[in-house]
Amino acid sequence: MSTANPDTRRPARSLLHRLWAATTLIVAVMALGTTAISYGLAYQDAKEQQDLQLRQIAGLARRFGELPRAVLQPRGEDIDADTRIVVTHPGESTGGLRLPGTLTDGLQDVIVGGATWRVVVIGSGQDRLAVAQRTGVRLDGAIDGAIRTLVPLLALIPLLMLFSAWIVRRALRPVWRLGRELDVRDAGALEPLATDAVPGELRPFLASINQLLTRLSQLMRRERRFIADAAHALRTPIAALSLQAENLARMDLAPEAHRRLESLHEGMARIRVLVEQLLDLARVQHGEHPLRRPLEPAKVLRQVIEDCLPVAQQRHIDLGIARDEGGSILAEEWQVYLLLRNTVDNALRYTPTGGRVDLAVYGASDAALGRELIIEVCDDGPGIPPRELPRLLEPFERLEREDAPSGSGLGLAIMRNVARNLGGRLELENRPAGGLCVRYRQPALPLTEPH
Amino acid sequence: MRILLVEDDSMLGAATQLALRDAAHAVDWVRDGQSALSALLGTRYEAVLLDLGLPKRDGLTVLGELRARHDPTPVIVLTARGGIEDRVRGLDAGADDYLIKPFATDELLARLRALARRKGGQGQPLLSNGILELDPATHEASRGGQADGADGAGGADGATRLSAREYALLHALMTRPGAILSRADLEERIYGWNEEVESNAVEFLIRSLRKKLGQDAIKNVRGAGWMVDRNAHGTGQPT
Repeated sequence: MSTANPDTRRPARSLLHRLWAATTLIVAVMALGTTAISYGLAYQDAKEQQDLQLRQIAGLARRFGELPRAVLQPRGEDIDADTRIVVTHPGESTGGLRLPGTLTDGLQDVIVGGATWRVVVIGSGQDRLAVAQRTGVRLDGAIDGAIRTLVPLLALIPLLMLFSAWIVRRALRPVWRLGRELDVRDAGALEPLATDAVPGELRPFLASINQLLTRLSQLMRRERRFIADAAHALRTPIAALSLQAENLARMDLAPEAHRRLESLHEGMARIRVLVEQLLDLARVQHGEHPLRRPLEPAKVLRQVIEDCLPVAQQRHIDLGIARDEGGSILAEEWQVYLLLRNTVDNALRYTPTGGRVDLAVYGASDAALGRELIIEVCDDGPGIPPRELPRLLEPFERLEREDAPSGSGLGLAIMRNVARNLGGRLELENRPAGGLCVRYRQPALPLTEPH
Repeated sequence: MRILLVEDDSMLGAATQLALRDAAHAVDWVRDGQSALSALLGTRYEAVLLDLGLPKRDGLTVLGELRARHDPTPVIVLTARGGIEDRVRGLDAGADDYLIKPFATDELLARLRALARRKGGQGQPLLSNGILELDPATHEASRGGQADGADGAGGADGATRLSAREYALLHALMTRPGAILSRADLEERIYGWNEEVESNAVEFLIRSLRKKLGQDAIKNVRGAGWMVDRNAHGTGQPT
């Protein structure tokens, strides 16, 4: 499979870099072409210019007869060898140039002493006159012309790079904005992205992303539906069974039948708790994206006490708040309720009849995390053997103890899930005096002025 | 009481019908929303027990249609979906109360009694938790119902007149039996905006209420506050 071969997979180059490479190449090719053309044209120009110049000088020299030597041999330093114009008679030596006497009339290139000269010869006999200039001057002119074409074109390259960078950045800004929007978005929020601000080329891609988001949210909705349906499917027969058992209990039964009915009731109560806990666990497992609101845990704690009080009173357990410093956290109320409800349920379950369960809400400062709010549930039951502590937060784990009251162990899994969803920490600790303390810590909201 | 039971689950329907008949109610049982609406057209019921997940017409549709034709029959919604949203939806649609499955017979009967009291016609219904009764019209409290064995002081039948603040405090507790109200909650109820709060007024009022109504009338929950028992066993039929 070629797709699996790591050698064939190269990271795609940046759009901007490709654009830069392409514009640079195009401009460079164009610059070379136009430079070549303008070199050729300028060379042609320079050649015609030189020929014209030589003819004119030759014409002038012939009309005025022999020119003064000073003109023919100007002082050498200020005139460069390439541009010097020499007027002479073929076969004579003037200014270090000796042209052969066999030159024909008219224009021609002559090589003398390794240098090429452009020479025009006019007149006849003794009056034959030659005007010469090196051909190098033509090259100089052509090169000058070529450079004048090349430089502005080369200057265009960085300008075009800057300009394309600007265009690309501007065009892709909406995409970057969408990316940032996705980053900060609550992962539970699966609404489609707005596509109108994005360049047309990227719209099909975004449409695909939006389709994916839609499928994902349908999936999540289906799962939530499933949990609700499962709740319905499980609770209805349990309700029917409990009612039937209660209907039976109202009848005139033998004492033995009543006793047996009592254990039936207990069994059904256990199933009911188990089903509720399974549903709660399913809910908290789907609660990774809580809708956080400022919340006073002490208020939720009071709600939990209200709901747990019948059990506590029945077993003569003194359930109460030992310490309440107030304070708020950002959390979702039903999740905090489930966390505390299961913690208190567990504490009551493991506390002997006549025991005591203390609840507390207080603040503490942590060096790394700042100010935290701690919700604490302490019982005076037997505590937990230290080696079992780490294992305890797994689903279905519970104490392997013969005297342990029946429980599914789902409560601990619910607690752990809520702690993870809300970004808090759960701690289990044996009290020196006996009993277990369960602590939930979460960063506290800054204190606000009481109104 | 003549009751219409709308429940599609045959096992739960049969068990509920039997439980209600044992409590001397007349029960008609239908299994879908369409039949429920037809039954309600022809017969006057004192209460409807309405399951939400019904075939043909679901419970909320039935409820909506019932209220749309100005039928005031009290409705208790039976729901297996315990989510807050479902409860709110049910109450918004015009339900008078809701019960989450599974429910106990006693709970069901208590809700029906409460419904009957509320629809009883008096301007201000008596508040009762099965042990105590409080009359908002006369500010009188009494140990009504069956005080289960251990009742405290205070005449079992004689109503006691309460002071304004005693009444305010007890009324706050009796509005939601079983709910714990903190000291701050109670102070808020018994003091006006500009009144100065006396430091142990709540304790003082509770002591005097207990003297009048029995020591166990108001319970203290350590560190959390006070409450009156939620007692579904009370028969508490007001007269």
